[in-house]
Amino acid sequence: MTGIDWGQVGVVSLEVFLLVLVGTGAIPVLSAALAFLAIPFHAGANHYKKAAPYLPRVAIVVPAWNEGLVIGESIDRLMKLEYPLDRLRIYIVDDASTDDTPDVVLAKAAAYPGNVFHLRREKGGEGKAHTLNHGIRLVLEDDWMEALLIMDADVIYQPNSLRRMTRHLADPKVGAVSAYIREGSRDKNYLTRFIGLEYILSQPAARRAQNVLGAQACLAGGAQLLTRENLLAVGGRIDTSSLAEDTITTFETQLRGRQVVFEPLAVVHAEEPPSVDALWKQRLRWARGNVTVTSRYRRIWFRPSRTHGLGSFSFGLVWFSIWLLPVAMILSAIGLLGLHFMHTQLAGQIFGVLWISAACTFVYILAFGAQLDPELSRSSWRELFTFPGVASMFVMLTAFFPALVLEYVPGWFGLRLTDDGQFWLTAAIYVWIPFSMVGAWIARKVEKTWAGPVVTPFLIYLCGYGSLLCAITFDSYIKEARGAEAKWDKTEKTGRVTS
Amino acid sequence: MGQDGEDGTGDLVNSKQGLYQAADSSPARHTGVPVADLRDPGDAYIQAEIDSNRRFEWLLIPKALVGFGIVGILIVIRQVFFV
Repeated sequence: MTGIDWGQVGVVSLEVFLLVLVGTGAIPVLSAALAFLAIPFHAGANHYKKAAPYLPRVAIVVPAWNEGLVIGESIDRLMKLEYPLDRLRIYIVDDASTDDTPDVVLAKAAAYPGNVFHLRREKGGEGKAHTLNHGIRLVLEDDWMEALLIMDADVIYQPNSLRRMTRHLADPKVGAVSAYIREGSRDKNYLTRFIGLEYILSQPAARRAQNVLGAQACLAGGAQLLTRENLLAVGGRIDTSSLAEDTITTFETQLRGRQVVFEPLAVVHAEEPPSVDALWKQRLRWARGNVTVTSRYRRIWFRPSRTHGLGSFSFGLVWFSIWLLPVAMILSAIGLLGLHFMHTQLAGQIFGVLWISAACTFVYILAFGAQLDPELSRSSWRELFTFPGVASMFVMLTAFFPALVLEYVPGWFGLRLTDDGQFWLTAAIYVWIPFSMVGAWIARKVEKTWAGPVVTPFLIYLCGYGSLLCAITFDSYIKEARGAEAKWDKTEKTGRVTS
Repeated sequence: MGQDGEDGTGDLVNSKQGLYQAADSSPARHTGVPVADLRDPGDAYIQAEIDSNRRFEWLLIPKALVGFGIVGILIVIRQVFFV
């Protein structure tokens, strides 16, 4: 009888544990691949076959706080929608603005009698949901409204967009419809171009996939069309208890068995934050809202239902992959680094499989996504090629063509990596992703300093826009863990939006 | 053509003025149904637009194949030159 070698058992157990950690990094890759492989199925599995000519009476509710710069033009544009005027009413809910918003709106109400209405809240500052509810309460007082469109004051609807949304409401099973929010800042910079690409990937791409998979994660805040019946079913009001009122409306609609449809060909142009700091505040609000949603609906995850698709495995995978992406990246890096020290060759093999998969998925996603809005993609080609960050592309290149990076290129300069050099360079590559989030955090910190105009874009291109979003999500964990105050910071708009 | 331009209007929507020009010029081109009032173009026009948009979604398949093709080329380069 031989004794058990507990030392060996411990080593094997640790290796298995590290492998599991590394495996967490594969989950977001699988999730992204699943979503983007589902998109072509939208060719057949779309809602157009159930859409029909339908032009209900639509009340548009626009929350406005100090929107004097943009609200007048927004109203003019809404009045140019290709939609019957006798079926269109625009309610501007003025949230105790202190600028000239009331004057601008009243002038437009006089110019468009019977179509534009000014609703004034004397006590403001409670947030978008409260402002919307003020308008919704009044709109519901009579039977005129058949569908409610919730939008932001500064967005621009393409003239055919509302008609393209209402056609889906001809199907009584549909409770809400959303549109493609397209980045439309007039003075684009590197960040708005990154955001534009992100929106292509997350809307005409990912939301088509969600149409196919049977559940939508979120109605776009600037373009939510709800039937009256659905609005009443979800309580006749917008949730005010969290920072994710759009997502909660989306979930409540689907939980009641109504479908939420994303219409990729209804396009709404929106101004997006031009600075990392402004983007951070906006996305932190969204990320903290998602923490609330994840917790509030904890009983639906991964529990398939006949009523809705929110409990499906695919939807849960997509939701948690995004929400827990920073954790997966950190755990995967720890696992790789640990294996690198214990079993260098095994770590190299796993790294190759993981990052080659990631590189293939990434190339497919960007190549496919760019074709969904080629005009915007063409104007953002630099950001397209550097979307994951220059350094992460180097990591992918190392995984895909290890000899090129570790032998050929150094060889061109007469250099040769020593074994030690290769060991530590590889270790640095393994842990890059968590550090890239730190880089994004530094990019925000230095943005307002004298070096910001150069260093911040440099760091975002180097570390990647994805790392910036991961860093913000990670910050949301910290804020939630600390119980930091959840307040509704309005994203500053300047009227820079263009079509 | 951009996302906006599946009906042949993508190049026009680069300016505010172009947006409305695009809206005015698009109907006959992409539905083939004449329309007098864009605000209420009639059921035939709207149905033709739905059918047109539905057909447009089939382009997702060749677009996905392009994505696969690019990945395939990368894999071939790796296998031929770097393995």
